[in-house]
Amino acid sequence: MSYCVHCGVELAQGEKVCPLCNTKVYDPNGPDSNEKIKSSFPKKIENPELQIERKYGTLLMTLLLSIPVLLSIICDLLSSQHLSWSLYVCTGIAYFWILAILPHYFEKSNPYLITILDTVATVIVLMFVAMISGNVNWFLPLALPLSLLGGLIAMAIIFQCNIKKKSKVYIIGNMMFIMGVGIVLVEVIIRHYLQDSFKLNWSLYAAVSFAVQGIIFHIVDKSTALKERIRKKLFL
Amino acid sequence: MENKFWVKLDNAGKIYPAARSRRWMQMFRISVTLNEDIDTELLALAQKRTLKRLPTFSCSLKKGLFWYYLDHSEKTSSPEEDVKNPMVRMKLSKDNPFLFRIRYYNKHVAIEVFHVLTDGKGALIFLMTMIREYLQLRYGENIPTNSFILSCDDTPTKDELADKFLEIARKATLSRKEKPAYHVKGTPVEKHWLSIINGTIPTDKLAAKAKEYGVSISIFIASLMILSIQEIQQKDHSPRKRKTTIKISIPVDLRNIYKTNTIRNFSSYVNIGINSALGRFSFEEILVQMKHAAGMEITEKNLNAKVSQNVSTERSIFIRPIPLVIKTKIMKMIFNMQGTRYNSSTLSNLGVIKLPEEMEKYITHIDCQGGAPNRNSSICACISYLGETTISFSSVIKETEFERFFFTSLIKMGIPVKIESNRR
Repeated sequence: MSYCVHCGVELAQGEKVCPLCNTKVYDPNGPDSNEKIKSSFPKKIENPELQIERKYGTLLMTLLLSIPVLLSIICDLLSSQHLSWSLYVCTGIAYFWILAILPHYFEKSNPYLITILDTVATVIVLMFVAMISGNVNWFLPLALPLSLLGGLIAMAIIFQCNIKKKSKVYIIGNMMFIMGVGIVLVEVIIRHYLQDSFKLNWSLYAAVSFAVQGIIFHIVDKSTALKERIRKKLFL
Repeated sequence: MENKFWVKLDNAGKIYPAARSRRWMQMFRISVTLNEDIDTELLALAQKRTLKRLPTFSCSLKKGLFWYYLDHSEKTSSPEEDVKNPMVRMKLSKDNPFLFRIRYYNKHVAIEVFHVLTDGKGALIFLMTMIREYLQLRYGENIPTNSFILSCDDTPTKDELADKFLEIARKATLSRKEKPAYHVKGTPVEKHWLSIINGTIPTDKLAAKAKEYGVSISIFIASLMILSIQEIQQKDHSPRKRKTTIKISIPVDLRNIYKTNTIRNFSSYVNIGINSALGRFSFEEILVQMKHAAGMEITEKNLNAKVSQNVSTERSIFIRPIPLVIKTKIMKMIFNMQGTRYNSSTLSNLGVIKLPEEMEKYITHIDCQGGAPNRNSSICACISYLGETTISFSSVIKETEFERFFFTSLIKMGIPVKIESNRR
């Protein structure tokens, strides 16, 4: 047994310094430093990752975002006696809230549900902008189909990402094909809005580029040797 | 469909969910040391059986519209490996909703409890009942039961599950308001760390010294704590702080007074100490002051009035309909404004533990610790078993002046102290 020369207390086996005064323990007859001593305290240390609670974080962000909303409404009302420009601010912030904050509220968020929600929010925001700007002609033929198309492309990409048995290269290849089809559909919608002919122009260049990249990714996916060569050359 | 077991939080437990923060919750720990390494499979089985016997422990904390409540959980809880930094705030989740955890390491088994579930006596009942079950499984020993060692073959009684605060509350109340107490300050320890210093001393020598001064062991320890804090207070730079009262909060188990064996929270407290504005107190003066203050405060009438005050708040028709979201904020504010503001430290004495011979031969040591204090820097818990009293200080500051003065004072009185710590 060892005693602290400073405090006079007996120290438990294994104490290298006195816990009360930090004086180094010196005991020539004490156990060898290599000897294994069973301490009452384990060596394992619990270090929980301190995460911001999802719900708390989203509520806090909501509260913070409500400040510019309230301020812009007050300023707008004070300056013009009715709501005008502040509506854009409120709509923009509400849109940002749905896109960036709301998904964090749910512990296990469903990406499809979030995409649907984001698409609907986009449609509503654009409709709102069309309504307050007084020009709604572009909404139905252009904004609505483009928003829905964006949502569909996002869902197709999510579906691809969730394929478990396929490699990342294969999934990226498929994404390229999806993007190629998507870009063609974008031009179709725009030409329809402009009441132009349906002869495809710029989107074809992009679509071909996406298709070529898709094919390359699929070839790489199939060839293990090629994949290895690329990995060898490009590793970081 | 079978109705799930659920209970309202007891009156004392109501404050703890509201008072907790992201890094802190009110916890405490009791651990026993057996004479051989723990068989973890048997321990898990013993825990499972004990959970059936004491159903409030298999509950999770749920939110109602107006109050929190304990709801039976179908999840299973298994003992987990012990760690060097005990009582880290529990991360309550759907997968791990329990408000306590059993930990093991070599020969040690410990229970760590969120105070919302029960107090020290309730946790001791759970731990001892589980250890009895473990020893029966391990050695086939037939261990007799008593007030804190229950049989897992019995069914829970109404008395065990009752919120006794509501039953004993009367009309006479006492205000919670007191003078703020002095708080020892220091350099905070690392995040998620609780510095534990266990001092083991011979119970007979401690009891003899307390008897020499004509006080109980609790009052003796509390007085020595005050003397130690006074030493630090006198060095404080602030003249105002040097004159602030030093008070120790001593929890009082109400089970003996009201003859019950409830497993829920059922204790009150007294904050007693010295008024430093009157000058420096000698140890003898502190002992006299504490002895008489305890005599005045620890009476059935006084303790009941304190409990009744809390119960009347809970029953108030103005408080009850407030939604929980708002109520939680108010309760947290009250906890911060009152709570530990009125004491400089806490002394929880679980008393002398006497086990049946059939159990005693397997258990070599028992100790207990309070969890990280909220406002104070260091709190104390003690328990006596097999002729040894373990006085444990749980601290959230790096400085050890308080503990050092306390233990070296015992040495100077001729009481040997053996120190063990998790400090690094």
